[in-house]
Amino acid sequence: MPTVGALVRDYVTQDSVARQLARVAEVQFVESTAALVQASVDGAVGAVITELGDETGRSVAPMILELTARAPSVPIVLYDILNRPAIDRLSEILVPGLRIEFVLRDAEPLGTTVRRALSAALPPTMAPILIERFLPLAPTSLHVFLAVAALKAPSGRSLEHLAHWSGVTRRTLARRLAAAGWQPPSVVLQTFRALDAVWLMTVCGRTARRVRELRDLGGPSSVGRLMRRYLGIAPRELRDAGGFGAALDIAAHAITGNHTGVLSRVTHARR
Amino acid sequence: MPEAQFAATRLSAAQGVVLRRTGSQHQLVNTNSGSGCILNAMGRRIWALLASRPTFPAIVGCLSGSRDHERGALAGDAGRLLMAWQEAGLITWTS
Repeated sequence: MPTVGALVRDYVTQDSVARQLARVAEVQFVESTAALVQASVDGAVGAVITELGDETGRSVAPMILELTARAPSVPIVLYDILNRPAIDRLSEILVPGLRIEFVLRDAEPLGTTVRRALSAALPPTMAPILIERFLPLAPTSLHVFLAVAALKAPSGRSLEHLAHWSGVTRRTLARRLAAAGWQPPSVVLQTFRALDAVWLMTVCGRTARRVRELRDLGGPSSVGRLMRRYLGIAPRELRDAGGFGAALDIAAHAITGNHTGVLSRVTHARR
Repeated sequence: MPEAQFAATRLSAAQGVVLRRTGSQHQLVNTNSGSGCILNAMGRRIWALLASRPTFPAIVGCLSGSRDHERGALAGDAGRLLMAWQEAGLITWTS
C-alpha cells in the first residue's frame, strides 16, 4: 500500500483522514512543513495532504513553492474548508499547471482524490485560472460558489452539491446570479466543465475520447456537444479559434451576459 | 483562520540585496553576507517582478502569459530558482 504524508493539525481531522484513507494508503502524519517536504524529497510519500495553514497557522504557500522545486512529481492535495478568507489564501497557493487538487473538508470524500493522485491520474489544475478570471467579475455574494464551481466542476458533482457546499440553496444561487446579470447556475457550471475539457485537450494534450473517459461525460459526442453548446466551438476548431485563452474569453462574455461581441469575433476568425 | 497568521505569502528581495551589472552580466549580491547569484533571462524577469511583492502563482502567471501549456514547466523552473535565491538569503517571504 502506498504512503501519503499529511500535515493536519487537529486530532479529529487526523482521525477522519486516517479513516477515509484506510483502504487507499498508509498515512504518515507529520508535525511540520519541513518534515512533509523532506518526506517528499526522500521519496517516502507518493502524495501529500495539507491544510491551507501549517503547524503554526501560517500559509503553506512557501511549502508549495519548495515542493514544486524539490519534489515536482509529488501531487498535492489541499484539504480544508472553503470560505471567503480561504479563497484569498488559495489564490496565493494554487499554481495553474501543477498537480494540485482541493478537497472540501467535511464535505467531500478524500479517498477518491488521493487514489487518483497516487495513480498519476491527477491532471494539472485549471481552477486558479478560473478563480482569477471570474471572481473579479462577480459580486462578493457569488465568490464562494464560483470558487467551488471552479474547483469542482470537473468532478461532475451536481449543482445541488455545489450550492450546498457554497452555503446557499440552488434557488438563492439562481437569484444572486440573475441579480448580477449572469447566466443561470447550470449554465455557469456547464461552461466551466466545457473549459475544463478545453484545458485538458489544448494544455494537457488529451484527446476528446480521453477527456470523456477522465470526466465520465457519457456518449462519444459528449465533449463536442458540451463545447459547442457552451463555448460555440467544436474540438477541431479549438486551435484556429485561439485555444484555451480564446475559450476563456468566450466563456467570460457568455456567462456574464455580454457575449455578442466575442462570439461574432470567433465566428469571424473561423471563416 | 485568522488573517494575520497567513501573512507571509509574498516574495520580495531580502534587505541588503542589490543588482550589479558588469557588461551584459547581471548579478544579485547580498551586501550583508557577500553571497550572490548570476542572473539568467528568467532570473532577470523574476527579479523585476519582485518589486511588486508577488505571490508564487502570480510570478508563474506573469512568466507564462498566455502560454498555458508551459505553466507547469515554468513553475518548476521558477520554483527551483526561487529556492536557490532563498537559500542564498537573496529573497524573503513577506506580507
